[in-house]
Amino acid sequence: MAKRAPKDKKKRRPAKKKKCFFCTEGFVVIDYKDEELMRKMMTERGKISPRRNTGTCPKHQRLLATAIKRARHLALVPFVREYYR
Amino acid sequence: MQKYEIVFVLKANQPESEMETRVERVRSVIAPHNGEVTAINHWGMRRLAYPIDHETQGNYMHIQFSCHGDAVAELDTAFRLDHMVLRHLVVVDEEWQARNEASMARRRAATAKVRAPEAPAAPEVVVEKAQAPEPAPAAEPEPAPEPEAAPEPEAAPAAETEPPVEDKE
Repeated sequence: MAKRAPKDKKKRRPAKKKKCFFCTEGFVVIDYKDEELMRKMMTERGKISPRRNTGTCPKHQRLLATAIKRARHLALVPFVREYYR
Repeated sequence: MQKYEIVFVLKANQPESEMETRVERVRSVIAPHNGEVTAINHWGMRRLAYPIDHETQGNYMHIQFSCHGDAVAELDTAFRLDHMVLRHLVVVDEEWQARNEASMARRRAATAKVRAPEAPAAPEVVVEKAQAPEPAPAAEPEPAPEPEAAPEPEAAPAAETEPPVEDKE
């Protein structure tokens, strides 16, 4: 019973499938006024986080994208965050 | 009669009376269209995420109202021509809070049933429900002939209703 795997044999396991945050929480609509949520679903630079990072399902990603764009228009969240501060 | 909401940002150096004028304007524009203001939420002074017209702060106001759709274009024009308003957005009020909470409650009930499988008939229905949220987008077009699956289809089509009116500049 070899408990330790040989070091040179690196086998990549498929990443664990992420669950959609909005599905698990039971969100039906995504509110653009919820600034915290919008920021949570954006990268540090202010981009919309891709689905591969957040695990959001296609339906909710579409709703989320609309919500983030609305929030950007109202200056609730930035379009870009630059590091000159 | 459709429910709408408007959010607008007033320049920070304007007195509160200017804010009142804007609220009155919303009332006066929607009044001939059977309109009625249902809620006024003053968010107050907030830091803008990026400077607009060299302003770094803005006075935010959120108004929910119901009126006939014709008023929306008029309202939009009124705010677009207003130089003291930095940003505005008129969209269909999705009543996100009520709808999300209802959906969350349904979901909690469904998971509670899964955890307590005493009921003989329940598990079958429950399994269906538990799986439903993932493949929902694909499965939606079906009219769902089984009456048992009522709660899920109810929630799903509602989420797809995209608000028709929106203003992005």
